[in-house]
Amino acid sequence: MIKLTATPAAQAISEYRQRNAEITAIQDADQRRLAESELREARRLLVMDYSAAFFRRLISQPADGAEALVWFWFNHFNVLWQNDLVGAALPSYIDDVLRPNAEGRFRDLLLGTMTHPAMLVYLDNTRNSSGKMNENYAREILELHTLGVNGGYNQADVRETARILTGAGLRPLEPVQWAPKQVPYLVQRGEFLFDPRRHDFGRKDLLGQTIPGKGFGELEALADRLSRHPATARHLAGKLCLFLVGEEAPPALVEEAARTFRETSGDLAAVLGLIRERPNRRDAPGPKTFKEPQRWVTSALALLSGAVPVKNAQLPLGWLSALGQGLFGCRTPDGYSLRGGDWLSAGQLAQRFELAPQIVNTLPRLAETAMPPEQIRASPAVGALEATLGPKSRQALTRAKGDAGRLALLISSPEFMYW
Amino acid sequence: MPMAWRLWAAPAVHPGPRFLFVFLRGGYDALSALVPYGEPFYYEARPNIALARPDPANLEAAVPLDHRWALHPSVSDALKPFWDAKQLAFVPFTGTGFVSRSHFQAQDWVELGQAPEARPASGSGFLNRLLTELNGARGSATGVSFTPTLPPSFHGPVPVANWPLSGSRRGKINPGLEELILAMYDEHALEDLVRDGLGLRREISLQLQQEMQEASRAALPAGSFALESARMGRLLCDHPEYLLGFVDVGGWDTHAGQGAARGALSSRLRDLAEGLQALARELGSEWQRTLVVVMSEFGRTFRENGSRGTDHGHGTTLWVLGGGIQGGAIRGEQGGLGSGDLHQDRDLPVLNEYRDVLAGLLAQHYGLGSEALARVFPASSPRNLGML
Repeated sequence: MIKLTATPAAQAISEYRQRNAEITAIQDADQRRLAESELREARRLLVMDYSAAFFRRLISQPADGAEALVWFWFNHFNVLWQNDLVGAALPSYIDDVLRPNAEGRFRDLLLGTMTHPAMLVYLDNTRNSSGKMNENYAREILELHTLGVNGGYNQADVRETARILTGAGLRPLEPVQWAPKQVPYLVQRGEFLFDPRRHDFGRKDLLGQTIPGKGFGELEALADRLSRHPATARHLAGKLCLFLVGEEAPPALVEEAARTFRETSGDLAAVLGLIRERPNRRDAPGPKTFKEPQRWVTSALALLSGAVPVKNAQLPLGWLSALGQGLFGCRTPDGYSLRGGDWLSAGQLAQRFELAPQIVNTLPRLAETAMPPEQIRASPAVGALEATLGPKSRQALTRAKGDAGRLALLISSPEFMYW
Repeated sequence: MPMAWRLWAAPAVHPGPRFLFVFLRGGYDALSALVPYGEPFYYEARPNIALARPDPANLEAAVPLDHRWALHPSVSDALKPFWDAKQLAFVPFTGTGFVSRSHFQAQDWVELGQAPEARPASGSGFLNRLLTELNGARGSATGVSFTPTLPPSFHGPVPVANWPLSGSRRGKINPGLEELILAMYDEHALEDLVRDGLGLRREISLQLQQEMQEASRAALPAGSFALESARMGRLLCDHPEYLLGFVDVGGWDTHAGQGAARGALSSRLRDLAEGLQALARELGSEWQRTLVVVMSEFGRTFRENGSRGTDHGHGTTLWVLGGGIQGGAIRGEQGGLGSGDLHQDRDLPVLNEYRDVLAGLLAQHYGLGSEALARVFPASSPRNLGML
């Protein structure tokens, strides 16, 4: 039985790589397969434990709180844990890169992901080297992480970005005898290595500017250039407003957020401060945004559990998967859609109706202090929500079977599907 | 009130032709499925991942269709019989009218199906517009999407139900609660979706229950497209009002180590081919009036990359299947595949705009006039490629 170390988070990456290398050397095919499945299981357990802790933190805070922003950044810089060492690297990716910078500078966030094994493995940059190019990561940096799909770059820019990224990968497990002239160019942080032997040191022309070949400094120059680009400001401001304010965010707010992003060269605290300062759109009349699955589940838990902390995260994590938005479950690098309307479908609604009674019925087992339905029903939060319902929903509630049935109906109501 | 659920109890009203769109998300490597073995440059450009030239003695060799093209050996068992029965055609050099190497932009583009210069970020999908046209003539036609979320191709004014068939969950909602839910959504903007969702969910739950009881059907591996397709086939048989169907299959973004006769891509292709076979089998006599189109948002680079995979390209190969088609042939405009023939010196060029191809197919399949077609695929030039 293998166990990957949970703290310090980065240690699991080294352990995974080491164990993986040992497994590759096992001669007997059956033994090798057994060892491989053990390692995969250890990776799964690490991610499950981490996910549960993450989810508990997420629901202990407001919907636009600090951990929700960490979720936002993970979704923005999405990686897939089932992919090789990415699962072992996931806690470090979040704890060492995303959380510390979630309200810091966008440039640091970007450079942090560019030098983390989770991202480099997920988007194949460990295979990108001078003369043997792989442009997968380069394209997604421009399209998804910074400029956005209509951000004004072309295929040549993708190519040049890929050239800059050559050599950014993992340290070789075997000791390397570095030539003296290579030593000044080496940059190593944990399992990350900038390998000058694999880097293309030629000059790069990116987005109309020249980046001279100088090694790792090119990655820093790339992060600087992209985080100061107006298209990045627009792209990121739009996504943050969508996440924090919803689909009906006023265009003027998005515009102002983009300007702040641009003028501060991506100071996230300033941008977030601006967005959060605005009066709450949800108190105003007018169109609302359909809740994406995670928002529906977390808002239901917040409503039903009151201030009582939820101790068991396994069931809610299962609900998220059933609704198509499993935590850390998006397989493609674009992350989940933040547009509520993209989640609105017949299947989604039916699935929520199916889950609603389960959520209500399992709540007494989830919360740290048992909460009987009649007590939840009498809570001020439930009362406040019921007061906002339209006549048809209110009428239906009076016909519900018992308090549990009434609560299930409440979180199935059309009013509760929107925020 | 959506017609589909009133008809639920008594279907068999709708003997219309059926169209199923199978969308391969991630940009499948068309040159590994339909192999241009007659092109020496294919072997030059892909030293590690090309499929071997046809050779009866070599089980890992491509299986020839004509003097130029061959099938991947992993799909030939399932697909060659369709080809021989003239129920399968390929249209290589197909794709979109503008070049985007972004998966997400290109997928939206294909699904919305607007004119190349429109480049819309949103709007209705071509399948929903097609439904609108079919309803004009036939009334109660609807569509179904076998996906957890409604795909952009079905976005639009006609409500369409969706439910994924890949899982094995069989939940229950008690009838009393269901009735109260319907009361809450009475005359609400979401009412149709709520009714469709509950109805389809109930139906599929019953089907999965039957499946569990019939041992023979457990033979298909769980989680496979073949299992999903068999379920699709049965559901479509029971519900003739579902004229249009959508399903997507992922896992095609093979940037590294894609393999050749064996490997990751080979397994995906095999599962896809076996799924199409299972679909035709379950549809039985319905297969005769079913049209299936398989396509992806773009093709991949003609040359292999530095990690024995392929990067995002442009032109791709469209598959057309159906019991009543004129298949057994490579259709559409054909180009050369020498090093000088590539688009931007890296991809298959697009000689057959997919909207023109689909418009041509749908025109004949549904007898749509040019005005209706122009509403489904604005500013397209429908092309009859002789497949129907």
